[in-house]
Amino acid sequence: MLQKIQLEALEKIMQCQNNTQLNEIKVLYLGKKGPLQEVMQQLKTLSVEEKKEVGKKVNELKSLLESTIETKRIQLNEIALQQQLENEKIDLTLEADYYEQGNLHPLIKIQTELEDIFIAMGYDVAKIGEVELDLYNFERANIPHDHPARDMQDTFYIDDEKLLRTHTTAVQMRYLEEHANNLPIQVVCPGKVYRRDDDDATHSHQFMQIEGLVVKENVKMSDLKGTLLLMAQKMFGENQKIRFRPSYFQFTEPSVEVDVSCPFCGGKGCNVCKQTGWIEILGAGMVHPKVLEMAGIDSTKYSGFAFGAGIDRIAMLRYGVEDIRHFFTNDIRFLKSFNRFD
Amino acid sequence: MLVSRKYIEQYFNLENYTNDAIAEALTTSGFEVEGVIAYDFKNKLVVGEVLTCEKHPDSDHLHICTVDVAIEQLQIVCGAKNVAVGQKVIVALVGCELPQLKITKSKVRGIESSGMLCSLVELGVPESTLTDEQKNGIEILKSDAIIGDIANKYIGLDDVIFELGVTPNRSDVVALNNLLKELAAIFNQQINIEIPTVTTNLIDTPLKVACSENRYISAQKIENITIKDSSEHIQSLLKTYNIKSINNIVDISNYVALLTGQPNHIYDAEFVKGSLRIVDDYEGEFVALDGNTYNIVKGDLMIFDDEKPLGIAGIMGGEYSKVTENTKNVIIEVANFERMKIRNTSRRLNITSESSIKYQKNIDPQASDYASRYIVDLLIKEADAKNVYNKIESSQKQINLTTLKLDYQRLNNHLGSHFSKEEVFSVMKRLDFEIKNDEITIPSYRSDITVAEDLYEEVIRLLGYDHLPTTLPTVSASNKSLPLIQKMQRNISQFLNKNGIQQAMTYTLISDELNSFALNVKEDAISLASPLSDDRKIIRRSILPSLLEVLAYNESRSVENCSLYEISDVTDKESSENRLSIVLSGNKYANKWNNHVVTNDFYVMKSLITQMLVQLGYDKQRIVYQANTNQSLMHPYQCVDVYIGRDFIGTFGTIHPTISKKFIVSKCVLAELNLTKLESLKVGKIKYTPVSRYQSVKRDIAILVDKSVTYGAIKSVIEKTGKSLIKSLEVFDIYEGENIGSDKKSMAIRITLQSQTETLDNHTIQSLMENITTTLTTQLNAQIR
Ligand SMILES: [Zn+2]
Repeated sequence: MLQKIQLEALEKIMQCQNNTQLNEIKVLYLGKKGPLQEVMQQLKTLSVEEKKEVGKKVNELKSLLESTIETKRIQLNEIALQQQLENEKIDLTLEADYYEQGNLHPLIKIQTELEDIFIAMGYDVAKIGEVELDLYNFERANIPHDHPARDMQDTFYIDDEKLLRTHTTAVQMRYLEEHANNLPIQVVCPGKVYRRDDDDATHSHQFMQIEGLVVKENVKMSDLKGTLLLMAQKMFGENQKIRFRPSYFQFTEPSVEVDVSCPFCGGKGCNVCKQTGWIEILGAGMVHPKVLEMAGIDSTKYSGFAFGAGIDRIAMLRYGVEDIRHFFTNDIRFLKSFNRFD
Repeated sequence: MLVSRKYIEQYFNLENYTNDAIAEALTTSGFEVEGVIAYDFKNKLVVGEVLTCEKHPDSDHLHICTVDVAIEQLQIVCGAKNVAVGQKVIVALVGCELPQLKITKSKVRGIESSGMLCSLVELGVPESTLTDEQKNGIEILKSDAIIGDIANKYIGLDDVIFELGVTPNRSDVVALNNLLKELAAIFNQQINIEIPTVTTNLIDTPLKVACSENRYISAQKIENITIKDSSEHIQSLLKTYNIKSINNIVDISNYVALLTGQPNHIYDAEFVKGSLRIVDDYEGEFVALDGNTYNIVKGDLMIFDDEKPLGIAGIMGGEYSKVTENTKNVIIEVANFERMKIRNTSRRLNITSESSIKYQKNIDPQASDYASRYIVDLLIKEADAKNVYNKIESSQKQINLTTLKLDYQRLNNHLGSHFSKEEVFSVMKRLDFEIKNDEITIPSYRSDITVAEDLYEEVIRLLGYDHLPTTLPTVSASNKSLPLIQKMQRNISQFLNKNGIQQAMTYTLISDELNSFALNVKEDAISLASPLSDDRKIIRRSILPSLLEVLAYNESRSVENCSLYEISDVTDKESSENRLSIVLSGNKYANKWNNHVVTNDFYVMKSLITQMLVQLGYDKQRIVYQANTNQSLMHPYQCVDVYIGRDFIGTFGTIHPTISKKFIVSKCVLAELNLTKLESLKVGKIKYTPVSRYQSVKRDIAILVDKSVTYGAIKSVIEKTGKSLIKSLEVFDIYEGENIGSDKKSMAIRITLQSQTETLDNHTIQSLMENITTTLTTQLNAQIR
């Protein structure tokens, strides 16, 4: 009897396709009206010995069925899960680049990087308007009235006093004056500058510079060299070398042009560096004592250095951009080529 | 400034210097070598003799020549008119690289040709230095030229020319004498330049000169000169500087200007009447040496005699009084003027001469004297001058030489170097500066040296910047570093980049027309006094018009979905401010195959601006959007002004259809905010409030209202009624249609209720919701559905 029930029940459990069927089987065999319950009812007629024996067998069968049902349930769940996953198969090769991100304009990217290099060295960042007085742009920068650099031809004058600044040195001169009583000064001033130049591949009437200025006691020219070497290495790679070449700016003395080893050939010589292995990236020097005095700073007690770099030039060198006008045309395809961290 | 290797080798021993080494030495001493002209044809340019010369059968201007070049005889087809048998000529052999072409074996109209007979033009010699014959035909060498020799030395091209970049402070080296002194310092070799003294008996001069005190003029008469060619030495030097040789007198004038940097003028004495004067009030025409007539106005400086103008001062002499082959007696004039005057006249008349260029540099105050002495000396030696008169001159300014104390320890402190006293003073010796007890006397031609720091520069540049150590300044830590506005700009950039918007940078200077589209302007725009073009004449007051141009540029190149922003200063007549402009066009994102498309519209912009302002620290409750129907760039019903509290920040909205037509751009959304204003407003700090422990409850209501009732009004009613229990509102459906009446709309709103202090019971929720519906009905005439 029990054997028959067992065979029948196991067969039915095996054939179950889903949880619903399985639950039905469970109720059918283990429920209150199930065949095992019936067998138990019939136990009353048996002797104690027999009762014990049959009762034990019924209980064994009960737990066998229960465990078989549970095992089957796990199996069925697994199959159902597999099925669901199968159904959720997708075409992995479909393009999905529609969540595009924007990026900084390449000149701002370089500007930000330079600012951060100097902030890390303890510098402040100053920004002052682009419409400047002749006084700060030229006079205070030690560029006298009859100097060719002040020519109407090269400067966008607004009237006799005002102009669009031709270099960020103008900011420097303002900053010097404002902080004359609040030394030391350690500042970089990035910004747009303007020259009355026709636009071509290497000239732009609008471009960007970053100007650095340090004024305190005991600042030496060797400090300038160390500072610029660090900047060059952070911008162009840690093996960068720099070279000072004597030059002339009205607001510094001594003045130098600063070359970095050519990032294109590593200094071996190529077309970009005209076979010299060096590329000029900025002008620098020790602040001219007259400039300090004009701002009301005692040049016998304090000294300083200053440097000015073309942000456009650095960007062109670093990314190999061949035409400065690209920066201002804003072709989105051009702008997007700077969409990575570097 | 050009300098020839041969010329400097007359003074210095440069045996151990290659051309590259010379260039390097000059560059690292402050005279950047910008070019080297070598005329190096690598043994492929030789002397040949024309043995035969016959007409080409198929051409009337070509000749077939046999040319002897010593090792062989070549057949060469030549197109020059002046070729003839027996000439010694310049032959470019096969393989020779001339500036414009490389010589190969070829056929010219069927006849084989192995090489080329050359003119100097073909070798790259500047045409300005050549005669018409030289320009139009092959160069004919002297008959003693040796066949097969390298041709360079017979045509004066066996030299190397360095092009030096001269910084404005060192324009003294345009005088060769000063350049030689500089080179002596650079190569650390001795040089002795002697200025000639005139030893002949001088005759009392009948001449007179006159000029104002700030100018200088001298005149000296010399008689009985012989006009002929100048000496080889002078001619070859002039050639280096591309100055055409005319005759001995003109050449001497030019040569002395080269040596001393002092321009001068030599007149035919016959055409000068009375005294020489500098005049600045002449008005009228003047015929200059170049044959052109110039219109002279008051303020231009002129040289006059008693009767008439002789020359435009410092720029060009006159045709009338110039030295010709018939000249017998001459007058030498040496003068100095204000350099601005010379520059202005030269600019206005559009004449640039050797002399006008020199007058714009610093001229050694002693050079006028040197120049006169050189000229007289050379006129005697090279033009057989007989009678020399006294020089008459206007009063000279006293020459005061600068003296500076050179303290080598201060120098080391300033530079960070470790030079010994001997090293430092050795540089002064190299420069030939006079040293007396650490006091340095600066020669008059070095007017650039005025302070001790100038001397430090001399020392470091001549000892070499590679001796400068590398150190870092002592750090003074700053608590400011980045100004607030820049921090804000960086945050905004980061936020917008993350949202797929590309940063742009456009020009500050714009056209009148673009300026007319400026948004939210207060004062007039600034116009430049001297713009380069009409496109770039106004300083912009608004960024948006420029961004619309960029959008048009990209869309015309089929770039879709352009979203751009720019942060820039804008300026009007009164002030400057920093603005942010945004243009969104096309889709924010689009994945069309699964209908995942979000089109950039007013609400995308609204979401962006709101999110951005919140992230910048302005609580959402402080942000106010107020409809603006009157903004000409924008759609009248899709445009709002942005306020933080009561402070106006900017505007955003959908582009007005006429504007999008005007700029040829697609329908896009625009924004422009004033960051300077924004930065001045207080921002909220991040303040932590615990998340409510009590359950929130969501209730949906659907209401039917007049179309004119805004969501803002509904929201305000609900929030006022529910007060702090209203956690958030969300519109999840809006319906308009005939079946609810054409002037009605239905809106479904999900209200989230939550208390900070208790779990809301059913009764409270029920009565609150009833309260809300009643108020909506009474205040907005809403029907609850
Ligand atoms: Zn290179």
